Amino acid sequence: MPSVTLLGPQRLRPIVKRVLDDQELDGPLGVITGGWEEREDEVDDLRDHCQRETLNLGLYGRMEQVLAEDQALSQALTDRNDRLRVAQTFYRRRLGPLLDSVRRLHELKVSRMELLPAERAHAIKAVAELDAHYLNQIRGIHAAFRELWDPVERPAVAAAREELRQILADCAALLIAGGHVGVLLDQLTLFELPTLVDETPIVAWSAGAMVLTERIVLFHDSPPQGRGDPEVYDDGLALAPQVVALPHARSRLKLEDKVRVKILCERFQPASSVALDEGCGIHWDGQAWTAIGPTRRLTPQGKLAGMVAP
Amino acid sequence: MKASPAIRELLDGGIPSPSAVDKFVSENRPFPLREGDRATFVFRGNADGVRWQHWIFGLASSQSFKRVQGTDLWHLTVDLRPASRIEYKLAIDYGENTILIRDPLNPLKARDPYGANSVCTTAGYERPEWTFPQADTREGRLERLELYSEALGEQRTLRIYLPARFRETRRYPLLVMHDGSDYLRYSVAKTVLDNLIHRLEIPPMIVAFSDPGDRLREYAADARHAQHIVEEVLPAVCEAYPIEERPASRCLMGASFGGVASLSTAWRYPGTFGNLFLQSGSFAFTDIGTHHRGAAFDPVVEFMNEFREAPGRPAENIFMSCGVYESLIYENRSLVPLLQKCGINVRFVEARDGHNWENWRDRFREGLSWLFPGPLWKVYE
Repeated sequence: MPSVTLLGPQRLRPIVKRVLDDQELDGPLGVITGGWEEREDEVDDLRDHCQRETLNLGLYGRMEQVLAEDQALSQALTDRNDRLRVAQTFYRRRLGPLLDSVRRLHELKVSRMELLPAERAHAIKAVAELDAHYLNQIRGIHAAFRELWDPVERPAVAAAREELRQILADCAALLIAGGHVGVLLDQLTLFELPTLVDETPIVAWSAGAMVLTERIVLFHDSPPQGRGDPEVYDDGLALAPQVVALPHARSRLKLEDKVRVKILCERFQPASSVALDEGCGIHWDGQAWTAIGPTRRLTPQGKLAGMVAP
Repeated sequence: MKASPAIRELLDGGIPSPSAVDKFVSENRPFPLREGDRATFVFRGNADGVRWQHWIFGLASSQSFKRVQGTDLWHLTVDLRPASRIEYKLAIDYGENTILIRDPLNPLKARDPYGANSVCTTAGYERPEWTFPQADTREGRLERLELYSEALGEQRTLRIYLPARFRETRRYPLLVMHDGSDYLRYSVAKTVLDNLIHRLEIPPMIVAFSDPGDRLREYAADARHAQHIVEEVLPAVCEAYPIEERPASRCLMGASFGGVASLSTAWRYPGTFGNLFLQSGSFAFTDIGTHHRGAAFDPVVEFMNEFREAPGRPAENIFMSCGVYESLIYENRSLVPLLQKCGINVRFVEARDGHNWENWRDRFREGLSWLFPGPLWKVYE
């Protein structure tokens, strides 16, 4: 497993170069900006910041090309995505009431308060079980798709993978930028990127960090529409173990709301829910996590604490 | 109405001295003084009468201040509901003459096409932060698009908003706004669009800001105006810019008479706009007899009566908003079930505000993000 560094947003005050310097990663950089979709070629700022040669893997363009060439695969992906959407609809329908019940138990004031913790723990367990059930459902959909279509054996995908393998062979590190987490995950899984990376160190941020974890969690506590219930999106690539990546936590989460923080943390334990804001990050050396900058994690007490190994 | 504790305290020792009045005013600025749900307005000066002139439907539109005997201090305390935003002026009487002024002791004001009003807000109202320019927001840009209108017989200029990071190769949803220049000027529409797009709460979109010529004629359900929007504006914008072709990606928007213009255009051309955003629409109608809103409303009432008889399905989704302090709240409320009965997906939002551009500004986020949900759940840059 390669060493992995997960960072917060990099747009305004990037620290990628500092991370590369600290890890003495001096060669050319493979760059994945597929989460930026049609803007994936706009890497000038990133290249200038890193002060290193960059080799854009062009995953968004490659995926577009593959799907244009292989219409049958394209249709199969559309069908798979339809099934995923239906599974997601069921999940959301069930998730709202379960999270409501957890929150209501935190608002309750009863005469025998000593009885509450067990109820709350059971309620949060029900949410975690639903998350697990949902993941199981969509794993089944993904597995059925892979079994039927085996994408890496399709000529267009195989050819793209070979080109990617050659690019990555020359890279001292791989950078994965943020953007649309679903689009990015689709690209990385279609080309089975982890099998191409080998031991190349990876530095990823925002959505790029999310896709490397074991479980991708979507979150926003104050959306303009809807309830703002965090939801599991899919399995990640599992190159960053035992963490839930929460980029832009300061602007997307109500970090002062102890109940929300506590529920979010407890729901995904034993993984650590890590707030990845600007200037923050965590590094996995294959053995343990270390913090970069003032990185904080959510605690079961509903607070934020300095990052320690999960 | 209970008196203001601060005023009571000032008057406790009898007639206050000029220096005590000075001290009271300087210590309590800015006015109105807010004590719980009470707001106390104060004016200083020699006059024959001072009145609070507001546009809150349901309250007497003019309420008199009381003069503190032996001083130049006038005051009025009113009960207001929380989370309210109220625009007002002071009417100062000098003999038979009256002048309307903004409150000299209140720096808060709102501009509109007719000038500016003073603004009183109560606890719970806060101007949304997404209405202010934000340092890290990427900015879109405005361009001009000229076109000659056969329907209206004159040259027209549209202002076109292109979102930050606009790309010719991508296709965008289209929002067409009536009273475009007023939305830009008084509702800071460009700042709001920049911020909502940056926050991923709405998708990047192209906005066509359209201005009227003779507003009260064109926007009063005039068939030529509908023709202009659908047969001239829409094709011109779609030719010049990369617009998504589906009706579901198009929205027509307007406030007051602009709301009528939006609804009547969509009604005359059903299926053209998948979405409508109607703010404080002047949807006056009569069940029986005549209306009392003046001649400008004659064609509006005629249209609304016809519309209520046969609404059809002007759009799939309609977001409506109206201030509860507006006289139009009744008409807007009554339109909602009618639209819903036609199978239209309707969201109606009320605000404790009046018929003004800042009320309409404050509803942008809720309306646009409902009609055009942004990608914020899946994009983490």
